Amino acid sequence: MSLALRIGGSFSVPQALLAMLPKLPAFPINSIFHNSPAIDERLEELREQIENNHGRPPFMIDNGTIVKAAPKKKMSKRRHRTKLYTPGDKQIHPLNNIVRCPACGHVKRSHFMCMNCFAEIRTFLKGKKRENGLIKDAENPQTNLDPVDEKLIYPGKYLKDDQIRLEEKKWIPVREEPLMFDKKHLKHSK
Amino acid sequence: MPSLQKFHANVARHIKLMDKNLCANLIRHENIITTRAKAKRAQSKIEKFLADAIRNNKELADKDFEYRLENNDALNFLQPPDRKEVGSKIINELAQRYPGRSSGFTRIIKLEPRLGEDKAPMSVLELVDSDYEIKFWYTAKIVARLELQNIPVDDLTKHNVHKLTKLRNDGEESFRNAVETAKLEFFKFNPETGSFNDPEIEKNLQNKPNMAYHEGPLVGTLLKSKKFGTTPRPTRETVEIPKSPFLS
Ligand SMILES: [Zn+2]
Repeated sequence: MSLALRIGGSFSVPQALLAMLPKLPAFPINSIFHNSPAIDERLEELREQIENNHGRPPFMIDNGTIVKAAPKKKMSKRRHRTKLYTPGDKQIHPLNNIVRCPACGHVKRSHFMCMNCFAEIRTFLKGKKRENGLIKDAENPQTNLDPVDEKLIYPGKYLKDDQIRLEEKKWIPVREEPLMFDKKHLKHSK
Repeated sequence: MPSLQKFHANVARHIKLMDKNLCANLIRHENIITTRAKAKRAQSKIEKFLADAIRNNKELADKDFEYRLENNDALNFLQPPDRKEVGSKIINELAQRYPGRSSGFTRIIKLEPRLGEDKAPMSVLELVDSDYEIKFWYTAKIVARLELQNIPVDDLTKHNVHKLTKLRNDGEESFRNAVETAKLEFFKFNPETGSFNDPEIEKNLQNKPNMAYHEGPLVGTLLKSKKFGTTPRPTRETVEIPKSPFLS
């Protein structure tokens, strides 16, 4: 009864049904074939397998049952109620103010600086300041050292693996490059 | 906006010192990146300080540099170690940069939240009309991109360019130079061959804006109401006032 109901419920959504189908060999497939406009390749393959196996379904994991994602623990009352019933301002909202950056074509939040352009402009201005002498780099007092002397004075030190990994600075978060703006991605096309 | 009143000990003194330090560093570096709350709090203090300092400097225009540095009372806002360096920059540079301004020396630009643990909303606090103004270069980049795509500039960008170049010394010319620099720097444009050195940028330039704002029906509708249909105001007619009978 419940199996039939579930199949009937998901029948109106062909995408979900097709994803589920290889796991459902036990019920008659022909009835679905008549109604569906396009035949999935997986269904053809399944039919061949059934015909070769004397009308019985091939061996699969979870033969004949529907296995759904199961939570590992019962959700506590507090967790459940916080998720569903807290005031809306404490829940995470989708961003609805996404626009196109006129300077680079990526997406950005309206009324905010595009961080992609900002990073470019910031490095450029830093270079400009360095050119104009506003930023002065510390000068190495031993630039004219003989290479042999340098090797003797600074032999270098042995770094452990974790120290090398620390020096790579992968722990510093880096901003990802945003997506290119496309009108088709908008919920409400402007 | 989060409040800065988190720890109640010495908050007033701490905030006063923060404002002074932000002020000195803003004038030193032309723009600084801070959290939104600090930027907003310091902005009004910096505006007032700059307005007073530049007005006092105008009054002492006929005196020499040392005298102006000593007797400009507004400079007392700064901390003593900063006074000479920042004060001399105000007298030598900022007074010439802002001859007609009495307010509006700074701008706040909103940035995305910080990529750290606290996700604090960040912003840029910058001096207007400087060579290192971020909005100036951003607008220059927009115009450069549109010129490389052979698209006419839209109304909003024109409006922004006008605002940026109106009170700047050699505004139009410096903006023109900035656009040419932006083409080279940000788009890797090669003016001799007319091509781009980076194929990715060439692909990126195929992303075009909504053309209705550039050459379509929405041109010239920037300041028009989208909700109510409006008619332009009629031009003023000259009215002849009859001669007063009381004036002999
Ligand atoms: Zn951008």
